[in-house]
Amino acid sequence: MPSRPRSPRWLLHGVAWVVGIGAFVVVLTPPEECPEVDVAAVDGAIEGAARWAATNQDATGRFTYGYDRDRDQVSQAYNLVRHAGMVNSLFQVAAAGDDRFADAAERGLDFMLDRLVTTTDGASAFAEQGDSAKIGATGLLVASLHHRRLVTGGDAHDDLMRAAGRFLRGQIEEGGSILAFWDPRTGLPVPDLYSAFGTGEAFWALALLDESFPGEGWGADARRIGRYVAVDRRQHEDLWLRIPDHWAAYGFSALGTGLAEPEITYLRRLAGDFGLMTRFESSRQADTPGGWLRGPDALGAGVGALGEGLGSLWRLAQVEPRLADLADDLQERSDCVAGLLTARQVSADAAATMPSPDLAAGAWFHGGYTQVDDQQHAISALLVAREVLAP
Amino acid sequence: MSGWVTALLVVATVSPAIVVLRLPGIGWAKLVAGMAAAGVVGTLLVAVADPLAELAEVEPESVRIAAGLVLGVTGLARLAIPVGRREEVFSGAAAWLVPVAYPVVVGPELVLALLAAGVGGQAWAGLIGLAVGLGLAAIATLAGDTAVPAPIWRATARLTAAVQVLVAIALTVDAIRAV
Repeated sequence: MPSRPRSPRWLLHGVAWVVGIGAFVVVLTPPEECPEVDVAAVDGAIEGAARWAATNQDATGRFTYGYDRDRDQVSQAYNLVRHAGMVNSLFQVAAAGDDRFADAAERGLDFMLDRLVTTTDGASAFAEQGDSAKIGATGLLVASLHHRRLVTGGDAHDDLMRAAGRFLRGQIEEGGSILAFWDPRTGLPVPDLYSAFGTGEAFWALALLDESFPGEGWGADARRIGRYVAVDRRQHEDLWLRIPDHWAAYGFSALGTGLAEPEITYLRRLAGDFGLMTRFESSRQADTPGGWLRGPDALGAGVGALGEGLGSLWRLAQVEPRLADLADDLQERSDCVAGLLTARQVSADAAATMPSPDLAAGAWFHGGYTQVDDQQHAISALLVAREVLAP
Repeated sequence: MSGWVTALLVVATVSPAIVVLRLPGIGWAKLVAGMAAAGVVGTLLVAVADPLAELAEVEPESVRIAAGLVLGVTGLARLAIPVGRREEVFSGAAAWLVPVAYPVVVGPELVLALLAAGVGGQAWAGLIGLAVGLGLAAIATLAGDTAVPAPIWRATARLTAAVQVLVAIALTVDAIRAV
């Protein structure tokens, strides 16, 4: 007589397999959807976002900061770093050949020119009188002027660019770290305070100054910060995780070749961070298990910043042989970000059904709220994604 | 991650020592047939890993992260309890299939390791690991079941589980760092 198992263990195993596979697919590997995208769609999305900024800008050059569509309410808050970021993005649009929003960029620049503070030794920072000056705001002022310079070819603001560069240089510490604030009461940088993204913004600004004014030593300052970001930052600033710093990616991309091996290692890790975050983001789809378990779509600013980082590293991979093997993957992720952004942007048709169409059209909402930096980062990301799509 | 490390992971997930402990007294014919079946299934898994990931709309790196996480956890479980109760063996014609090929040899760990190898561009490593793992398991089961005391097999199984945990961590970290 053949022996038979007392209980159908194979059946229990089978049930466990089905449950296990289901849990594996639903929890760990939900579908990652990257909507199809082409240059026309990217151009349309850039235009929509830039139009949002231009339409919702007052006569002083100040942008609408935030808008809650559920309450049909505009935020009264403001942030100079984000203002400078949007001005920079609009000048980037102009530098890419679309001058329809150059006037909005100029108005935004005027707003900044009205808020310049003289710091140490005739250096200039972008800040409200009496407030601490943030390096990020001044860094993005420099970036704005750099891109404006590419558009106009003029030297009208070259002295200001250098003065702002001297402000940033004055904030750099011996090891390449850069203090986030300058205190008008003491006339000195505020000690021991660093900024998550201000460091990268200042780094990028100094690298752009080197592009605008080669041979004036700005590149050496940028490289000091770059080395610090790549090697010493986490320990010095007591950071448990690496910051997914798209501004640093811009900075290294602007520096181009001549990077040391630890910087290459850092950039490979940074590319991995952006890749992982993009894959995760693409698995967040409303009304699917991925969406339920992984939460709603990220902020437009967050997805945009991913695209900026990916695109900047893709640019660098075109000229740096030690990163060349990442180019195809960076391109794939950049395309994915562009697809996500174009798919999630509020179209003019959809906005027409909302209480304030001008405040909704071309924007990215998160929980019913949009903020100027959602559009800012998305514009800049889409500009570089366009380059990746059609090199 | 090196292909050879991936191959090591596959060997660890076959876990020859666990096969010995779960299939005491199994005859050579059933064992060899079961191993051959497992080899065929394993080879198919490596071959279909990429199309399967594409069908499921999942990037290879995400599959490797997920596989690494699960293999890390199951490796820890194996480290604590290398083997539960022994499998009851059919004496009928299908015993090579149940329980030899399934569920003892082709378990979730082996499936995940082979999928990770297949989507990671390391199909060759998956196949080498599979061949080595099955070969070792067959030899150990036929030769070692009576010659080596069970505590030694349990210790070996724990060692293999520790290897699985370490390589699973490496797999996860490697996939997290991938673009």
